[in-house]
Parts: sequence; structure tokens; C-alpha cells
Amino acid sequence: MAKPIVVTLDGMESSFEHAKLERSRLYGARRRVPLDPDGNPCQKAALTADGLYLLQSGMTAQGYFDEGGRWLQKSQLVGMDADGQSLELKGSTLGVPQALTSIEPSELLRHTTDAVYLLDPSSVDAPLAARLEAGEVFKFGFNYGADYHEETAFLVRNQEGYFCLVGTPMLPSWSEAGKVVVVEEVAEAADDLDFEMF
Amino acid sequence: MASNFKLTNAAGRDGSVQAVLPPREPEVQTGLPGHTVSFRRYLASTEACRGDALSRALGEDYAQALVDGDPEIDIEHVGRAIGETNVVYLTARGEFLHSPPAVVEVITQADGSEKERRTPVDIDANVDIERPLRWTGRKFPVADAVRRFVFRRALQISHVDGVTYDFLHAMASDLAKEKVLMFVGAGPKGADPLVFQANGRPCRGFLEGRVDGERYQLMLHLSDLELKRPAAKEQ
Repeated sequence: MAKPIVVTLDGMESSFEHAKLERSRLYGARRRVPLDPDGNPCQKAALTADGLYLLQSGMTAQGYFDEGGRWLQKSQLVGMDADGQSLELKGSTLGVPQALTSIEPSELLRHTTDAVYLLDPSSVDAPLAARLEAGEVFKFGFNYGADYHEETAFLVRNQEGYFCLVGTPMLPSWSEAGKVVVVEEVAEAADDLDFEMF
Repeated sequence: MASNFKLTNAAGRDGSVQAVLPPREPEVQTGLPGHTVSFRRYLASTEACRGDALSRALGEDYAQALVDGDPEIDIEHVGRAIGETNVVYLTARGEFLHSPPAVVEVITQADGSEKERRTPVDIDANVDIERPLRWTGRKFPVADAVRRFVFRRALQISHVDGVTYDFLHAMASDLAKEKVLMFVGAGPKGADPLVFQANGRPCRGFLEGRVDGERYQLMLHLSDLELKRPAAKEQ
């Protein structure tokens, strides 16, 4: 069982058990399943562009390699800043008290939410509970596991309970007369607007 | 990623706008100081070296054979870099399918149980330059909205000419003054969720405005999830 999320406000600790909130747990899900001529689910595989290999589950692996083609263990890799300097590995914040900062609710809108946790309070400091009940939003540093970058989490409460939202800051530019918003080239990866579900 | 569509204002007038995905804080890159590190996918095994093939060739108990002769490694092929691939489907018995498979859509309930199997229902995109997104007039105070919805994506809306600059600046200004998000929807009455691409996941759209003098930011926050507690499973 994962360690709890522990936060402090004015020196008083509050602790929450947590479970990731998935969309399918609220609304269900739908998925498309390809069937073979006998009506059984197909196996998905991949054919290399040169047609040489039919890749089935377990036939490929992936890893990091240096310029000499040497395979690198993940533990050898370190986080690096824009100047190529090593960054310090930050430990998980789970179980470690994190200071809360009250923020304007609109600050949360400057983040895209990557993960949501449904919180089950083990112990909540009364003033914190009251301020959350009144609609205040708090932020704190969060890392589920050790990482080179500390994420930002938000603590909120509504009629359904306590929630922790973990987000990544967005960096929108200002729109001005005579200027068009700068469109940064973004790799076609998970960051792109991928609404394709099925 | 950028796209153009139409948006109506409080008066019901529509204008063409541009939507872009705002940049996010860059992720920390991992590497090895002083080295150029690349990430590659490579061939780890061939068909003849997979577990089921080895058990057919060597019998069920082939552990000692692995130790003695490394039959699970095809030295001629293993380690080759894998570039682009195409998805193919095999039958349940592993045979190659030469025609597209039939597809069934499986609907599961929130508790994970299967509810229905049906012929797939295609969902058309409804955000484009023909059909405007509608300003519904339904406002959500920012302080309430962030405690009710999960905003997993956002698009930045910007003008495409001087006329739409005024149009969008006024919109952002009104929203900023009131500290509200405006619910926008698709369809003739703006009641439909937004679908940006065919068979994409429908989501709800909320406009947020910020103004700094002559400058503005108009964000379309997208949500497909509410901050709710899943229903308790029946005992």
C-alpha cells in the first residue's frame, strides 16, 4: 500500500490515503475489439516496414544507448538541465509532509491535469478542512516516485470529498492586435491533442 | 497543432478563430553527462525463439536447454533496431489475417462488468469551420469549476484578423471581469459535447478569459471527467 499524502498548513499536519481516479470508474468505458473469422479476438502484431519481421508480444524491447551503441542501464541515466548539467534526484513526497500554499483558483487553470487522486482523509486538521470546505484551493509539491522534477499538486474539496489534482504548467502567450499566437512545434506524442479513444 | 473553427459570442454572432495547443513546461530530459544518448526499440526475440515455439521444439521442460545452448537467442537477428512498423492482426491461432477483421464495440459499466456488445457506432467530429461553437450563456464561477471538473487539455483561442481581435478581446474581458468560465457547446443549440476528430472522445468546453491592457488570453478548457466519487460496489 502506498504511503499517504501528508500536507501541513500553519504547522499542522493532515494525512490522506489516495487512489487514482480513472474515467472508466465513473462512466464505464468502451473499446473496439477486432474479431477473427471464428469470432475470437484477434492478436495485435506489428510488421516491420521492410516486411522482415512479424513482431508479436514479447519480441521487442527498448532501451537507451550511447553514441557507441552501448546499452545503458536506466540507473546510469540522470536528469539534465538545458545546459546539460546533472540535476538532483528528488525523492517521493508520499509520506513526507508538504507545505500547503493557498492559491487563487484560477492558478489551477494554468495547468493541465495529468492525474487525479481521490483522497480518503486519515486525519485532517480542522482549520484546513474548514478552508477547503469554504472553497479554498491549495497547492503543494508532489512526486509519486523519485524524479528529477517536482510536480505541482492541488488540494480541493467538494461535496463528493477531497481530491488531489496533479498538473503540468501551461505557458500560453498573450494575444495582441496585429500578432498571431506563436505556435510552438510540439512532437506528435502524448502531449498532442489526442482525443482518439477507440 | 493548430486548427480553425468558428465561435459565437454572447450576441450570437460568430467569428473565425484559431486554436493552438499552448506549450507546456518542458519535461526534464534524462541522459548521461558527456554522452549523446538515444532511445531505441530493438528486436529481442524472433518467432522461433518465443516460449511457445521453444516448448514445441524442446518439450515443456526446456530450462536446461536454455542454460546449455541459448536457443532463445537468435544471434543473427536479436538486437536489430526496429523502425517504423504497421499494425497487423492475427487470428486467435496466430495466423495472418489477409482482410480487415470484423470489429465489435464492447461497452463496460463503471464497475467493470460488460454491459453490451454492438456494432461500432462512429462519432463524427463537430468542431470545424462550418459549425460554430456556441456561447451558451451558462457561467461557472472559476472557484466552483476547478472543484467540479478535471481539465485535462486546453486550447488557446486567438484571432485571425483585426475584427476577430476585437471580438475575442471583448469576450476575454467580460469573462475576466466576472471571474467565470463560459460553457460552450457544439450543435445548433450548443448542447452537444465537443468532438475534435472523428471517433474522438467527446468533452465539455469552457472558455476562460484574461486581459492585460490590449492583450488577452482566451483559453478553451476541455473536460471529460468530473471530480466525483465512484459509486460504491454492491456487496
